[in-house]
Amino acid sequence: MDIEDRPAKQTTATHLICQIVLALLLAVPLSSPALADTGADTGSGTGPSVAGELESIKLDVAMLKRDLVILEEELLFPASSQLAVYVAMDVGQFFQLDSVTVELNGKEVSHHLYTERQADALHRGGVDRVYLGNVKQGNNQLTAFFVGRGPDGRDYRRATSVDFEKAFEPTFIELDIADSTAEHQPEFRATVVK
Amino acid sequence: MKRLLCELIFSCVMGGSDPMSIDELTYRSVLYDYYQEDYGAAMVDVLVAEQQNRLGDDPLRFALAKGSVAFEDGLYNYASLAFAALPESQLKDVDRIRIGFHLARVRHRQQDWGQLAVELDKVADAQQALGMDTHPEVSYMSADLALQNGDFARAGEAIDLMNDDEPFRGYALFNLGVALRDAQQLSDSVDIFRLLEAMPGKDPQVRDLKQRGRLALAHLSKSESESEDAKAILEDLPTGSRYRDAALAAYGTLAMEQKDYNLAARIWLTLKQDEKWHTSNAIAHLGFPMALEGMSEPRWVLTHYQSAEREYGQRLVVLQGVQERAGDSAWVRRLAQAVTTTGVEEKGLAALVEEWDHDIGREEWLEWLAAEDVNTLLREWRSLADISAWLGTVPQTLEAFAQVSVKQVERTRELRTALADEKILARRAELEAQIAGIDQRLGWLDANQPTQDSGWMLTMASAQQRTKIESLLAMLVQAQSMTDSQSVQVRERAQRLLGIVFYELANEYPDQRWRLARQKQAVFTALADVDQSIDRVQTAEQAYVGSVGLRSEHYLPRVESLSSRVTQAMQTRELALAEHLQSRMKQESERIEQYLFLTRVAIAQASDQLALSDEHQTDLESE
Repeated sequence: MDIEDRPAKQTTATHLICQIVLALLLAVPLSSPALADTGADTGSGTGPSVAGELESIKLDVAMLKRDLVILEEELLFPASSQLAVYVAMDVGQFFQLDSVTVELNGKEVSHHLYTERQADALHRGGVDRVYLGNVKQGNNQLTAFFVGRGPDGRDYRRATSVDFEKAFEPTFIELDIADSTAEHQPEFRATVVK
Repeated sequence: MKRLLCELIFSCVMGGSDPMSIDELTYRSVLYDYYQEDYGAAMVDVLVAEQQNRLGDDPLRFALAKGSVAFEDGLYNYASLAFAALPESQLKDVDRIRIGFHLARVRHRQQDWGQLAVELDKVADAQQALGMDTHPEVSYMSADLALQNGDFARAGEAIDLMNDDEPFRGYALFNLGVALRDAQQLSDSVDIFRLLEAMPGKDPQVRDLKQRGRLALAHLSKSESESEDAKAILEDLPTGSRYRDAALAAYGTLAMEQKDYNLAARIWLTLKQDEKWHTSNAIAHLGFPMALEGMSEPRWVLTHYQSAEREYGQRLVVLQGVQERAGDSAWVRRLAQAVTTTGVEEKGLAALVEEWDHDIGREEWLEWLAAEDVNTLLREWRSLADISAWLGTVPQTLEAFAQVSVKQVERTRELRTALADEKILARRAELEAQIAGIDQRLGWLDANQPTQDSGWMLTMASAQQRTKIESLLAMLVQAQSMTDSQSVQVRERAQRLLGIVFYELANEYPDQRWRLARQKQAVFTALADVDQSIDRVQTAEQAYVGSVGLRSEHYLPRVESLSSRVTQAMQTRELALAEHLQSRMKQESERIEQYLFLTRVAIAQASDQLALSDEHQTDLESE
């Protein structure tokens, strides 16, 4: 091989490398279409029938979970002693919820610290079943303590109570956090849901 | 984004001052899970509410929520059926938008472009009727649809509807840029990538897309022989970017093309220093000695080519090993576990990830994982693994339920004993006797209307009245033995007094009947309370016994059948993953073989060169 050929050969080899690198860099993922995460997938990895099979499994699992939830409720919380307590928030401009503690006849039965995401879900109209348990028939008292930040970001702790008579049907109590626009203060209510 | 989805998916719930109904609480519990993106829990809430018939006063609203939740939980067919079951006549335009939006998302991901067009048209019509703005995801899907049809202008129009900082706009711009480049409309493609570059980069997804866009822009500039532009773009890419190595490799290539071998050598050396294997440093092993050649540094060229040959040879062995291991289903399962376990907390899994980083190269296998098919397979596998783990706990849960059931049965049996001990059953018998007595009395009253007859009067009379009547009747008997004049007087008096008593009794007749009816009602209520207590104890016992029965007869076979289906589905995905992996390793091997071939050619050249150079030196010395 003549030494004078080297630059020409080198140019060819360099060009080849350049082409390879270019080919690599133009390949996935740099130029493949970008898929925005739209929260759905199609199971394209194994074909539609397999994806359909997955969906069928998921649905059957959901049905089984449903039946177990109902069985658990009937077994552990029969209607004659069942008490469910829900937390709801109406607007909530004057109160930023941190936690809720529920006392039943003077005894703490539930304490829940709310994450930002959970508090946001309440703001958007969701309700959280903060307690599901059993209570004796007859007269009872439920007290809820709300802790959070009130107007102007001050620490805020308030309680509200409700007396109720437990009968044979399940009892539902709604703990509601609302805004009193007149007083620029949050309001806390506990109501037995009919 | 979430707020927009809230408007698009559900009617946003506005709170009111009135307490909610039980059904409303149920509906909003679904929303609570949904807003936290816990779609599995929301789906179970929906199914429970349906089963317990707690759909509320607005079943349409509930049905919409059901479809939306099912969609987000990945139950697309179920969601489609739920939406299709909605009564068309009761739907409002806003409902049509919601349904169309969900179905469009399904069609888009299924790449069913014909049906996507239909759904998007429905959304557009309903939006127009309501005068609503277009949701960015709708615009994104419209742009994608236009690209599929090769209608770049329409894609651009859809993109123009989105806000500058909207992440969907970033994706749509990138895709349009790529499509234009592929259609050889390079100048338009550059313009689009420039628009992407100009987007505000607050969102991490947008930032990443902008970097991808810049890299694509650099290639476009290079292909249009605008090397300086390309160089400027590549220099501008952040060093911490995940495209840093790709950018460096492109920069190195550019330097080689511009014959700036010194710069190229430094770039290749930087890439070579990364111990973990990836596409960019693979090419650097070959690029570095070539740059040295360009710099007329023949002394080290052959050594580095030989080093590259060794690297590529070893790499091929590693790839061959991975291909072989992919045939072992246990290894593939372990791999799927490793890449789908959050945080890779388990020691063994962390070691496997480390092994993969080393053997295959982080960039390579992350890229493999990011590929759409592999990603879908892994997501499905993860989902199935979670289901499998949950199914594994169900027998234990059922066992706990059974134990509770047994306890409850024992307790209700004790209560049943207590019913007898506490004379509740005796009390019941007494109440029943009271009712029978009242019924008998009422029956007699109904059959015997007031008549001034001693029999009727004595039956109706109170004890005091009875004494009085009996004394008056005795007077009448005595009067028979009296003289006529005395007898008449006594009889008349007795008759008069009996008449007064009869009057009182006849007057009391309806009141007595009413009192008896009320008394009967009160006894009935007392009896019902006693019966309810007894019934609760007996029904509870039956229910608890029933639930134990259900556990063994109904749930376990369901769990077993599901577990078997899940195992089979997981195996299908493991096989598919293995095939993908082997195919990927094969591709990689072919590429490395190309490098190895080039390296060997270069070694031959360098050896020749060295030999010639030695001859030349010997000639010079002999001269």
